[in-house]
Amino acid sequence: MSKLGQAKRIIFLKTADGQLFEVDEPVAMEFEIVKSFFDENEDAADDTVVPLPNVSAEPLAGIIEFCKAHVEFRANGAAGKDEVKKFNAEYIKEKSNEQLKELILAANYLNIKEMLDFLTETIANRLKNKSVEYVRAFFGIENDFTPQEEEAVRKEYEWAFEGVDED
Amino acid sequence: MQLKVFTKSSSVHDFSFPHITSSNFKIKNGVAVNLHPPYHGQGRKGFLKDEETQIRFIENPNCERLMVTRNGGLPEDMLVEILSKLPVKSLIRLKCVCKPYCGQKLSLYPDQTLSNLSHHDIDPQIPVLRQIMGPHDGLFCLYGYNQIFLWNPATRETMALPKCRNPMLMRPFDPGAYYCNIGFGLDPMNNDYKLVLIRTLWDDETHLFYECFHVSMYNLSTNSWKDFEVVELTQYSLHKRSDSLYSNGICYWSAIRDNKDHQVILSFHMSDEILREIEGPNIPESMSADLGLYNGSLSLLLIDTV
Repeated sequence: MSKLGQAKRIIFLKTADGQLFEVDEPVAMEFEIVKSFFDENEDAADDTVVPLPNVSAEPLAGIIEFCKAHVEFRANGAAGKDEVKKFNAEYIKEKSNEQLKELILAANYLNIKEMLDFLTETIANRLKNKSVEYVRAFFGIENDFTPQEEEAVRKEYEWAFEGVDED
Repeated sequence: MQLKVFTKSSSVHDFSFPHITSSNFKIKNGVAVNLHPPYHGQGRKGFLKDEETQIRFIENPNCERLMVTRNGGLPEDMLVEILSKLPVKSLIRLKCVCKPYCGQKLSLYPDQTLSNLSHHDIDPQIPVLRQIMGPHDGLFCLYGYNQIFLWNPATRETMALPKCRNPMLMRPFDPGAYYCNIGFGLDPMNNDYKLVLIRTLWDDETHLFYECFHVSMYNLSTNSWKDFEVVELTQYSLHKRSDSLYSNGICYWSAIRDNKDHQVILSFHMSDEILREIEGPNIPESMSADLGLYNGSLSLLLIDTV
């Protein structure tokens, strides 16, 4: 342990696909599920491996990257500043919709509030000016309207269909 | 002329709503709201959001169960989080996504964009407008000729309330025969919008007012009226034009207490559904008294022409 102010404590996390992650304690403690694991098992050995059966390696790596950066921002007093916005913007820039959905599922399971807020906001921004078809594809929703029924609803709310972006 | 302000201690009621009078017709808040069901799995709930409470759920027993799986594998609370961050226009567009998203009733959604809205035309379908109440979470109540409407300018939707039957007068509705005092607001215990209608009834035979009020209440979640027992309130009379004031789950009216010839404040709790007189100062009948909120507390503005 870091009782003598020596080595930082490392937390071991094991994903559903069997990968082992070594994460700095402050970053791992951002995950509410990991935090409560150690709260409930106070005498857990330092090399205890926390199993994460609902998270696979790819989203976990992404989440660690995000939380690590945000832990540092807080430590440097940069929270809420432009630096953070810039990081967040870069972070999601290359992420596909599928990747975002995987991230949000994993962040939900790990229970990381800050990241969930950010991800829901991000997804809302992506969907904001998109067509009905885009939203259906995003959430995997099947269209159960007949063409006539759909046309009637579209007509009723015509004003809401002005200024929609291309998919 | 003399002005007095009576303020009831806010420790009695915890007023947290911003002061919006019925004549103040601007949208003040980011706004929001719910009602029917659209975006959730369980289908019997709608979501709403306002500045203070984030998201609340409203039961809607009229709604069919929606399909739980219609969210691309995202947990329901995530879906609600995402959708609650969309502007109204996007949400309205999403009515076309699938049938469960397309509500049958009035739909009200959260929207930050409304804070920029300064005026809005009222739906021309609404006949002669007599009174406007609200907004509460972006929802206005409009009292037209012989009909009450709810109106959400953000979604551009109006809903006519079903007619409230008149238990005392069996003959055809005659709007001149009696008058209504309306209170409108949120029942915070049940997260439901309610409208309370106090009717002062007129007897055509005797050409006198009946010595009682009839109180009915409308629930938005069930879209139905509920009649209370006819309330024997012989000692009170409400002004014909007495506007109600809603604050934190309670509607207030100023009324005259007949036998003592002084004015009192009547309150109706949206949650426990009880009409009662609340303690107040002794105000002579001759003074004009307007209800309002002053520094977050219920207040009476008294105008005394000396």
